[in-house]
Amino acid sequence: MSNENNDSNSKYVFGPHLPGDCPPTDAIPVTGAVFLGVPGLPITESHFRSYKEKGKKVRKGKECEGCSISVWTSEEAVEHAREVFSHMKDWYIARAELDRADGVILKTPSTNQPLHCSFWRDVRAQLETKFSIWASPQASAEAVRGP
Amino acid sequence: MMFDKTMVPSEILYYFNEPQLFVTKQGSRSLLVIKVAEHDNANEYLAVPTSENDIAKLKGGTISLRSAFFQPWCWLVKMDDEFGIRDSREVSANEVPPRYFPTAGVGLYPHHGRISDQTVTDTVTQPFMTFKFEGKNLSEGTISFSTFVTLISETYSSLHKVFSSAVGSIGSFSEVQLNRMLQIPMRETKLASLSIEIEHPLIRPPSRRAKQRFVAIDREAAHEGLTAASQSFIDAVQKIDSLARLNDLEQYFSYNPTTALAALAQLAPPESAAYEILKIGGTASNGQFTTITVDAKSGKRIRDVYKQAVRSGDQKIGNVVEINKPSNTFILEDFIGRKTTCVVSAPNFDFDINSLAGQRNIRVFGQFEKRKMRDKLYLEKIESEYGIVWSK
Repeated sequence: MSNENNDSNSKYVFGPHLPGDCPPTDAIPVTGAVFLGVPGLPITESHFRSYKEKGKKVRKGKECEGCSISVWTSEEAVEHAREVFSHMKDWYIARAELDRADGVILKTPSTNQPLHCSFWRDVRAQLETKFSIWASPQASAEAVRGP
Repeated sequence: MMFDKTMVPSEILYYFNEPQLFVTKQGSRSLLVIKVAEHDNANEYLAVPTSENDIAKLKGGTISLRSAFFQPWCWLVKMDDEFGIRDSREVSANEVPPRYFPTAGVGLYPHHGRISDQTVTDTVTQPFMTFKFEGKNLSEGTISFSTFVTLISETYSSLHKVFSSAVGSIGSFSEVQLNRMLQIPMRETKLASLSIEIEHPLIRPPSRRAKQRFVAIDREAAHEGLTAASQSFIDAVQKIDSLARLNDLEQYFSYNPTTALAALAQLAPPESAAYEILKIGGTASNGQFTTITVDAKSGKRIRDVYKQAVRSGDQKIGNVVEINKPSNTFILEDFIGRKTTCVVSAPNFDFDINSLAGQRNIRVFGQFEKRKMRDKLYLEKIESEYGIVWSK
């Protein structure tokens, strides 16, 4: 059985693994560019599985967040992440123009991380066909040592 | 440092499907942890000691992530999805794959823009110099009080040797005066694998009373001198350690200063003691922060060569503590307080013996005469850090 979430424009169908009060009521329909980290090609449905769907243990109190996937909504945020995290330099970055039927997104879930977005997909959305590669893994040239 | 079984985040600073950058508590200490690699069965993280102050600066965008993580000592930790520790190893910053560090100048969040790493590193996160003693007796969470006192005392004495030469170069001061003027700020010590970190030494202005006796001190020159002394010490330690590993330390005497050897001999790990490894970190003259690891084998060679040099009849190393121009003699005091009268037996008229006043860590060669009161050395050659001062 799937969870259903109504808003004024569409009726969403979310995966059965979501808790009852998830996504949060302040999540809004997604529109516009969304960026996703993809460790390997081709882009498949598995890249849109949440932490929980991958069978990983979700921290207490973060059950709803654990049922979402993290995405970036700006090039600036993607580039910043790849400058900070070495393993993200090895990822492909996929980009899509999503529309409100694809799911809901919650921006600024944390004052610590204003650009982070959690995305809950509608199970009917064919996301793997919407995303295409926007950036390849960065060359693994060694960074200059020292601050 | 002994870790708990897990490194569960106490505060998440960057989340992307899972905590990517976070703070964790290990006992009373906080660590800043960043995910650096993904492996089949575990994720790899880089962890460094941190403080509430550092975290506040990261959040405020006043220090870069690279500065926060580029610390002399850190840990590479493999953890499972629930932050259970599978494996951890302590490494120096130089042993961490460079790409694991965030790109230079990047702040915690994109809106922080570019932040100068160098400024922050110099003033906030990276110590001026580090001394880390490792050994089985220093890694079980406690440390013997006497060991602690000895190591602190020896490190101070060693640093005093390194920096007092620099102060001596801006004027002639007695040992007491030097002790009053030279300040070496030390960071809070990290026990249980003793790590001593110091900030840039300072020259304290002479007291009001002292001002009447001292000439004015150029503090800027003194600051530069202290920086240079530290850099040449790090350069020399690199050289000494590499020669010690080759068992070829005698070479060192042919062209190098003796201060570093004396300072290092005082700290180098002996074969049986509370510690087996000494790691010295500091900025070398090429501007790079460098960590040198001296093990017990090299340490013994360094000590032996230094003892041999100090005890050798025909050469002495020490400080000039008194000059007697009419007799063309001066008194040299070595590092264990033994005094030798040095006689310039064939005065060269171009050489003014008064130029030796306050000279520190000079090496003298000549014919040795053992005496009841004070030994004598009929000089043939005097060397300072800068080369030959005088020769017969």
